[in-house]
Amino acid sequence: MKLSDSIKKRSNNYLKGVFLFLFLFSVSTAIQAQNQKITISQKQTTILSVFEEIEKQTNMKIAYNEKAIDVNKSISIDVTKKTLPETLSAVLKGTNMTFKIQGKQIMIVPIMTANSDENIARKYSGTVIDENGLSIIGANIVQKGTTNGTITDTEGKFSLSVPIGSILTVSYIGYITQEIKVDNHTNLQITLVEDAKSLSEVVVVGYGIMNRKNVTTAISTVKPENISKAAVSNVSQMLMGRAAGLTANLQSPQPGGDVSLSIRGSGTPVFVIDGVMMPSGSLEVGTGHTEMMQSIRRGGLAGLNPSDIESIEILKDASAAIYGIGAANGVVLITTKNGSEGKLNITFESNWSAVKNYPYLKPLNSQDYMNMANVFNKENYLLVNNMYPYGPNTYDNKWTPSFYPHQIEAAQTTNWLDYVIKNGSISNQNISISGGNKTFKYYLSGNYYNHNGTVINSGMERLALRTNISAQLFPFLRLTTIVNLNQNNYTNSSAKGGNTWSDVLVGSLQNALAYPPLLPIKGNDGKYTIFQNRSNPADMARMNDRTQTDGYYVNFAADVDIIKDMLSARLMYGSNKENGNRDFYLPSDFYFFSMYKSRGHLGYTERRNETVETTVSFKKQFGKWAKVDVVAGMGRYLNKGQSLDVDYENANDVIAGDNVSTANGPFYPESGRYANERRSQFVRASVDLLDNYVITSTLRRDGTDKFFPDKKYALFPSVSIAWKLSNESFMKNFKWLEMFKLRASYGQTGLDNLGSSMYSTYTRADQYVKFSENTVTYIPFRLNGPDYPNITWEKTIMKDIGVDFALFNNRVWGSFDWFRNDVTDLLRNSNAPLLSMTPTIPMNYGHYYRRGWDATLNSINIENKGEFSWRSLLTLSHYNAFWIEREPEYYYQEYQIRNNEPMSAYYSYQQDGIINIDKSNMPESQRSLPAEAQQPGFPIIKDKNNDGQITVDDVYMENIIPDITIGLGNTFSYKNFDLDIFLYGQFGQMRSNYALNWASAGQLYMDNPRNNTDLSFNLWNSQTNPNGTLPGIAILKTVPMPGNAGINYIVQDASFVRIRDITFGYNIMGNSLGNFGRYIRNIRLFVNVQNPFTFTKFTGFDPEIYQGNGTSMAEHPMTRTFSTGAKINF
Amino acid sequence: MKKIYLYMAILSSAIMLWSCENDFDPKIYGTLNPTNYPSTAAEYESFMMIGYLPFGTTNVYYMGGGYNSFSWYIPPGGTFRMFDQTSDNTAPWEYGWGSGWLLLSRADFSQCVFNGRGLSDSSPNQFTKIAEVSYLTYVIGVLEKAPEEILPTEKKNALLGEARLLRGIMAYYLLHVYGPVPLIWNPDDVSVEEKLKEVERPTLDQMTQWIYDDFDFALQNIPETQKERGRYNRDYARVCMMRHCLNEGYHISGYYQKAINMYNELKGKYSLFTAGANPYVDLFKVAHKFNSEIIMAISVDPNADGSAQNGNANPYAYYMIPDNATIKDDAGNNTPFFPMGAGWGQVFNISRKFYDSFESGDKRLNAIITRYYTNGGVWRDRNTTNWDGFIINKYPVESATYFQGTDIPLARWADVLLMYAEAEVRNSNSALPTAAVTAVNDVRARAGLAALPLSATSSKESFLDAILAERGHELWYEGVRKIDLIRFNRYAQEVFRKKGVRPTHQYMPLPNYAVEAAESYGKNLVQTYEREGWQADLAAAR
Repeated sequence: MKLSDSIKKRSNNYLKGVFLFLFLFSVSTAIQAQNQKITISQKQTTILSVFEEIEKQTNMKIAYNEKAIDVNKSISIDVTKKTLPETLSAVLKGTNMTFKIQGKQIMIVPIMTANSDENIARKYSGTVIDENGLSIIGANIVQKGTTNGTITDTEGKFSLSVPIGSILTVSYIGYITQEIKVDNHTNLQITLVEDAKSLSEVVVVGYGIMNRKNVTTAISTVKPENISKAAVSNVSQMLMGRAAGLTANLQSPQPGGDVSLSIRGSGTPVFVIDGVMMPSGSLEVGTGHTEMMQSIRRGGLAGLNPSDIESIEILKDASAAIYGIGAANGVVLITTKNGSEGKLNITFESNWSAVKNYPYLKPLNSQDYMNMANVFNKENYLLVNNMYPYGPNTYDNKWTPSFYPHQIEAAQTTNWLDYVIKNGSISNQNISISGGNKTFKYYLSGNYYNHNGTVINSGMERLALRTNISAQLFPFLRLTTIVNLNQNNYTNSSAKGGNTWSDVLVGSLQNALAYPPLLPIKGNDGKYTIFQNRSNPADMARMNDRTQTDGYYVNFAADVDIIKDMLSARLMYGSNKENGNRDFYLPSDFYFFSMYKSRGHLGYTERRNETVETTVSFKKQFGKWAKVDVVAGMGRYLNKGQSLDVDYENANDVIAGDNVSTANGPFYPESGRYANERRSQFVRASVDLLDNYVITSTLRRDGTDKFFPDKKYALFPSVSIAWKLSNESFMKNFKWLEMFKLRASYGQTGLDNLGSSMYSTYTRADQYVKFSENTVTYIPFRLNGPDYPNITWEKTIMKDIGVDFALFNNRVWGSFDWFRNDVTDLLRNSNAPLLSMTPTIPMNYGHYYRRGWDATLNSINIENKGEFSWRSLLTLSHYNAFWIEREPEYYYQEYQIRNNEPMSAYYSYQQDGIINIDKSNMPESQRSLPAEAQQPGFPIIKDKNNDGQITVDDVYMENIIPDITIGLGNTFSYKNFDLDIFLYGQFGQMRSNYALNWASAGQLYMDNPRNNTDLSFNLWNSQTNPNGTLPGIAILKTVPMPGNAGINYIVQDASFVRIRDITFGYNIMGNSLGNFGRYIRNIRLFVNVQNPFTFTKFTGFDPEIYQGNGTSMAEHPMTRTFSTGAKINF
Repeated sequence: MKKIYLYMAILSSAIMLWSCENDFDPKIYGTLNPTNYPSTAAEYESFMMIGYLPFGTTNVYYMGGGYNSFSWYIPPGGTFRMFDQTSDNTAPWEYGWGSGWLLLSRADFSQCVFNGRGLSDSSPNQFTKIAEVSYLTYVIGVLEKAPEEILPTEKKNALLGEARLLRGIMAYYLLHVYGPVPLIWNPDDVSVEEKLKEVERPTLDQMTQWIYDDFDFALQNIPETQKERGRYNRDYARVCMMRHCLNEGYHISGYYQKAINMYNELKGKYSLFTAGANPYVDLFKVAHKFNSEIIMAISVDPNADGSAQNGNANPYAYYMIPDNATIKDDAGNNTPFFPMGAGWGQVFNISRKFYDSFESGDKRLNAIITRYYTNGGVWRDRNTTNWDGFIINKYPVESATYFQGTDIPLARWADVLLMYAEAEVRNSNSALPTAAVTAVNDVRARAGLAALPLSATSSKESFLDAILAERGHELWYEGVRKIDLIRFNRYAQEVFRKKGVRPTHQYMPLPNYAVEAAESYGKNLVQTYEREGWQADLAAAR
């Protein structure tokens, strides 16, 4: 009863409170302040300390010019219950200064100036908007050096009379203060840029928001606002180098290309968009029964337009624990834009980009190719027959060349790459409409993105619509609906491959490198030429492979205020549904997979992720000493999906997949279905004691349907504390230290990544058993294993210690974190005992840990010096991971470290030159190796321990993960111009360079060699290149090195620095556009270059992007993108 | 303010609703489980059929789940690679792809210790198949426990006979790749963890007995004929038993007689194929599938394309024809490779020395191509220095795709005749039985050769020599050569004679990971195995 009584009372005041809150906020405070009574009685004090006392008692700010008034002047004052004007008059008595009250601001100004200006002033009016063109309500506009000023109204409008040529200072909390010199244009449009300073920033945390200064855990924030999105199709593409502790590596420059994300070295994190758990990978439709090259390497969240994102928060430590299961790899929270109170805002942005490839690998021309083939074929002849320099015999002149001189002379060159790579383009159009009033707010946006890739048959087209509408139906009830609709159309390129059959399924790029240059495009019979069993790269343009994905995202939330400002509840239902269709067709006269046969596939896949959550929040300030913030909730998470595929053969080339019933078959239908469910209860409590100590604790109980009843649920606790050291009195003397906070956190997260494999099932065997010329078919089922009732969660324990700081009047701020994450009870399918009928079984085992640090540093290097500003952002990340205990059946190589082994260890013998023709440079240690390893052209193996012989002890271990990952952004602005340069890089990273693997003597000495690249000029041979740096023919004779460790000649330092983005912008205010100014608030014109420069010693085509593996190194080439665009705010 | 109550009521009921913890079992679609499968006689039959996966030929090599493993007849890891490429009939592939391809062609097994659990074309690992034997044992256990009302004893035993034949062949091949290997042979042991860790090598006698028992059970229970072609039957069980007894007869008494018994049971049902001008060359062609000589073969469809669900394919031509071969020669005539054209590379070849060991006029030489025209516009022949060996045309090109319609022979009458002759001579301690000599001469006659000269039939030793040579010339690239050479204690000697290298091992050593795993169970899994006589053979190889 008591509770409902208080609700009653409060709700009576409801309307009044809400009305007053924003609309009349400034007015009411001003009135209140003026009527407020002040009492000060101080002797021998200074004006300054009286000002401070007034500020304290009235909660207002006093502004003054130190040159105009000596605030250190000592005075005595004694006022009792006087009004503010009376008090101020008393203080200023005896100075030639007076005051002016504007909102919550008191300006101390010279008496003369304050009065005289009015006479010769002109009336200026205008609006103040933010970068998105949204009105800023309550912004201060003050004539510099005076008290003359005003604030903007609810539409962001103001008018003020000042003399021509005077300077207006425009300021608003959370934005960078701007100064504008007024001239004859009396209609002004002022755009304020958000101030990224940490102190006032609000951070999105799991199930709530928090002021940055009270955050107890390691959370990085990325504001996409200032990142150019002209040529960005996907959220992750914006994240490279932007957040400390987040490693984002571009996997493929293909349209919609993937970026691998890793928080502190773990796997792919969980994405939560406006509270809805999202699938992190892209939805792709498979190829069903038909084997196809795996060219697709696209990123997830493809339906989300990057321009719709307000902020991205990365939960790196125990902060992720509130998401419990699945949060073992950290959490990325994405908050999208919503409408805010103010006038209708329309923003239109149009970009166009040209995409060009970085220099690619250079195939040999026909003459080089044929000569090279002859050289190595002869080299092999000499080696096999023990002839000089490989053996005692002298050359018998009996070698038969692969290509005769007349053939070499006559050969024409086909540059196959020209038929595969090309220039691309991107068109990106965005429109957004937003606005609202206190009861109804809306945000609508539309996006059209069209990317024409830089490899044949690669493209992406997206249409996305988004709405975010919220309505305050009753004072205690707000409903919010977010809807995102999207359609993505892809042309799947045939560029990359090599997964199943190394030569048969390779992509067009690899084939273009492999096809001998002497082959013409088409033979005399008019058919495309064929090399080995590879498809003709020029013909591969005829592979027709398209995917269309459609998606909708709905998010419906009801926020209920049960007790105003204290107890509230939220019900949220979110659903993300995506479906994809794939249609590919290989015409009957197209040679693929060693066959001329028409083949096609129609595939459909859909998936749905649903989140249903209820949360209750409680906030209360207990006296002066404690502020409590509690959130408790529960949720259900359902994922399900299904797929349907039909493969068909022998179709009519014109009809193809439009009507598969016209095909002659055979047909191969397939389908699948899955459903997963999780249920959770969670609570977070945060207590802020004396504004000095913050303690946050979370507990989540998660259940998954995957495990057996006894193991279904697990608890994931976390606790974190922060000590706001700078609020302690003993720190007051450090004036330069604006803020200093120590943090520590501990939390647990989990993973249930194995699907339903804990249950004993029979699944269809991969193969059918057939007899009688395959006319009789048996479909056997195979037991996957018994039940595994004891399998449970993989656990990650996250520990973090960090500091947040702000220095020098908030000119420098940032944070630094150390962490250690221990992963135990790894849940994997791992090797079973040797005789087990299921070679792998699910198990919990082992232990590893990751440790490292990350740092963020922001600085304002120059602020508003002659209208020039310069700001910087630096992120630094480092991590390392080590094994403590491996799976029970793990096999250690002889040379492997068994204790605390780095998880990214790479072992090899190091090459130290090449054995020359007379072996004069061959060290004694090499003689301990087999005779084949002592041949000219074989790498000289470094004797690491200098014991005169090569044994497993000479194997080097390298940790191939980067020592440090950096991001560095610099933003310059001068008047209406701005320039942003962002770069990122990795240092101390080793990587296999598969381009060197391709440049192998082994690919040249054979009968009908595939083509090579100009890197093959570095191959050692005794005839033409006795100083070569890459091993010669001898290495192909499979010399068993001790312990079977490899020789490092393709692993290189892949450290790099990449200029990711340069943006140069020019802003035109609406008021300078004459009549158009009435409709246009401002226009921003910009040019942007993505990836203009990459600095690296790596000799492959790119040190960052995915490069394939031993059999295939041809990925999409790295691209540069040149964009121009305009953004118009109406 | 009734509304507040309403909202709180809705809220709390919603919370109640979602906090239910029942109906929280996993939803698993598209699978069966031990409570509902196998449950009919037809399901028991298809359940048993999984045993054929290691003996099919599709591009999906493994039996399903976990490790990848080659089928026994897939070239990169099958019987050709294990027993022909490593034998005396193949020259080292010096102009080939190097690595494991080159090593095995040199009979160099030294690097096999590094073979991993996964699938590797160049370094195939067969040891993972011990897990597949465990699975077959599980299958046998399930069949044995099948209720009588669903699976009547007769049908059950027929299926069991088939399952045990399949398991026996698995063990037989494993024995000839590695020597005796630990296996789960008792269905009660398949899920007993200690048993799964008992990984010490059994004795040769033990393993021989296991295989014998399976074959013997099959001999009594598998149907004499099967309605499907290519499905194993009792005659194939007889051939398998005959091979096994011949190999192991030297250490177990009665085995040679058992082999002779098998011959007697087969006699009369099969005969050498003799149609046409050169029957040996026509023997394996599509037109003569399952001719009078074929006891068992993998039944292949020319429309198969290697994919998992399209049944058995024959990709041999792909591995035997050089990748610069042409369809037409310089005179515009079709080459033997018409209409398929070039292969993937000449993974398998016939060494010149082996070719030269044939008697002149041997019609079987016509199945070997000694010169061909390259797409570089030149002819290659025995004088070409950068060509390792001749081209196998035993399984000739007949269609345009890489997947020929030729059946893959598993057992044929010529082999049985030669085995019979050998069994007789090994079983008899006195004069050579005439029937044995006739059997060999029948095979020679079909190849257009005269009867064996007196010198070859004058003694047991010379006759055995003649049989070994005859087997080489008749059965090259049928997956038996290395087993034959070891049986004659001549593996090292013949390899040295024809390849110019000495084998590093008699049998492939076990992979290191297995030895180390055994050690972690407290077991001693001896890495290498050799039969008695190997050292003498090796010593004579010079």
